[in-house]
Amino acid sequence: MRAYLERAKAHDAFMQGEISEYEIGKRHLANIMGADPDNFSQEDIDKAVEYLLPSGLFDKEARPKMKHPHDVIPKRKAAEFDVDGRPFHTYFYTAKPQFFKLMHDAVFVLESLKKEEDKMLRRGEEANADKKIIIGASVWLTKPAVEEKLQEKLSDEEYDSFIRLFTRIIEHPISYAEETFIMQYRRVLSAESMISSIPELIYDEAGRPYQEAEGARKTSKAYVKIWSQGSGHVTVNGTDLLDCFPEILDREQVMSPLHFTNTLGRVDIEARVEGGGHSSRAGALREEALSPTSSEIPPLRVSPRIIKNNNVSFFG
Amino acid sequence: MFSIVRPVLRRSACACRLITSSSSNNSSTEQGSGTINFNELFQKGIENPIRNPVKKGLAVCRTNQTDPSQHTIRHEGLYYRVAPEAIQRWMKEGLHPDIYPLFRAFNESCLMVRRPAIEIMECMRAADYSLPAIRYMLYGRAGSGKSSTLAHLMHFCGSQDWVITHVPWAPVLHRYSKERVPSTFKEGRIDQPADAAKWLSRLMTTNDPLLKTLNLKTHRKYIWSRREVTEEGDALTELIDFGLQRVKYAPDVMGAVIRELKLHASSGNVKVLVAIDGVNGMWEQTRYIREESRHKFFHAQELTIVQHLMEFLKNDWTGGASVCTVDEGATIKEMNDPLTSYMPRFLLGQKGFDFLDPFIPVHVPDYSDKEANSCLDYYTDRKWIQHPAGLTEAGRTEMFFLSCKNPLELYKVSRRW
Repeated sequence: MRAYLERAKAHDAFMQGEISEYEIGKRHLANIMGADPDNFSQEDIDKAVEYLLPSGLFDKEARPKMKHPHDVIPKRKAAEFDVDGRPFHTYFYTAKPQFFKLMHDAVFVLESLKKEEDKMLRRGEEANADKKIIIGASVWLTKPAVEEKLQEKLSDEEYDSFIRLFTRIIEHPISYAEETFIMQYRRVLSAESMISSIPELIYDEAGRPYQEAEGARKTSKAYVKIWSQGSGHVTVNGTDLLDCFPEILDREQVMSPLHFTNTLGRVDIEARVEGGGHSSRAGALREEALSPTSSEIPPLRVSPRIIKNNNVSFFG
Repeated sequence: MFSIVRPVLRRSACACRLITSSSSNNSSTEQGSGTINFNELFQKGIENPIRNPVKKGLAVCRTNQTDPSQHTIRHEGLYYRVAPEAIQRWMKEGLHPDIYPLFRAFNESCLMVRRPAIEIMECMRAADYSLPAIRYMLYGRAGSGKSSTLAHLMHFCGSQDWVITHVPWAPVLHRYSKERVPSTFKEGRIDQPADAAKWLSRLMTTNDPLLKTLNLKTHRKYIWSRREVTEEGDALTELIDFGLQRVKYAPDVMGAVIRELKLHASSGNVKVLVAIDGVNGMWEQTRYIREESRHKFFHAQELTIVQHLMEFLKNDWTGGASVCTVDEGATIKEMNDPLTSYMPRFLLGQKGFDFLDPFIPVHVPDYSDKEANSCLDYYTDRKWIQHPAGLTEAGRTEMFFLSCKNPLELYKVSRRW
């Protein structure tokens, strides 16, 4: 403990020195730039450094900079025990207090859920199916994310036991009662579909609804109109699918989203593709043929193939 | 769960295949991230094809009417059985090469009765054969069934005792002929004795019993050499046999036979059908190099056989008909310059079109819904489609989408099921 206190003292002194140097440097810089040293903000420093030391380096991290020591020097954990040498945390001597506290709490949560379920059974009630947590809509945090959250390094075994315990909790019939606790350790996957807006339905003169979309893959660009209440008729650049894509692989590419969304033979597609080769054209169509139909199909986002392929050319 | 679903989505829905693999990799770490609850999916109204198979035993895809002369529009989209003898006589060559192994696999040979063939049959039934021979031109995109339609028409005419002269694939004459000699009869044209002899032998096998029973005679004397002479009034079969024995004279014999057949048809002794597949190849440059320069090629019009066949295609005779197809494959494609049209005017070019005009163009379209379903019914009946998913409505929709109902593509797609 004494060694720790010494180290902490040394670190504080070091930080003090750094900060005072930073303050002096800031005033010098303000004088060089002819500004008021008392009201010289971090933004002004950045501008001054960029002006005085122009750099053509691509990576912004590699360019010269002058930041406050708190932003640059890695933080150290604050003291975990008081002046008497008594640790603050109950689980301090487990060496990973945050992790074991979490596991301890999780077990209590699971036990409380079991008790609650028993009570409900005795009362003759059933779990509310509407409130059930949709497992497919989110994933468990990865090991680095959990480590970041707990500020502790975990071994693979510890992470596995964490996943096992929390899976038992989420699979419990009334896990929705502890949703806020569970969801702290899950990443919601719906971000993509929430961000990308689903295009509005447009109606033609005959009152037939259609949607429009456009997109790209590599150097190809596709402009698609999807008509609902169709019969599976596909027109690409004024010709049918076979004329446009003699290779069956390309036709399968175009078909896969329709097949997956079960709209094969039920929508008409009118598409224009330009640029690129045949496979990238098919790829552009695949993504765009899909996006307007996605409004009807909730589980699309979990398909790795159907998540947008951002392999778009730098020049495209 | 996946064991039920995977075969259904096996080929086209690669997406699903990837899902299954990723979920098995990440199952311990990312519960639910890569998995799809298919049961949920189906509950949401997405059809489970396994549960909705196409009704068996109800589909009618065949007709018992094996005589093509009785075929009418009622039989459209139905398969009729072609006797092995008919295959040997009229369809031994000329159909798509993949269809012959298919016939063996099916243990029978069946052709579909299709609208273009019926239309031409109706025209042939109604035609006045005292007027110049009508030329029918089948056109359509690759794999749409032009050659099969031609074969059906040959069967139709053959079963009514027409003499049939068939060129299974005209471009062969100017691409792969091994023997070429300058003509001794007429300067400036090229003889292909082996090809001419082949044409004569095909004429014999196609019309063998018929030519003997008809007992056609020659209209004039033909002097081949000092010793070899065909007298006026000799049998036409003797003339053909002479051409087969003295292959040197086969191209000239071919011209004589064509002249005789035209005269006999015009005088009403016999009806003649001229069937040429890929007729636009007759107005193409050949692959045969001229002696004077490596960069100059002969034109197909300089070939004796082509000149004789063009005599046949003229409408200066009566009592017959000619049915030709124009095909994208018969035209020489330039590198990186795909053909943009399958229309007769485009493929024949100005000269070919002017020569053949007037003709009756008959479009051979891809399968209609009825024909496509009939085709898959037949494939199912023959156990060509093995996979349970191929027997479902969803599987069919998929096959139709991938093939665009083009007959050849539909066959290629169905091979994978």
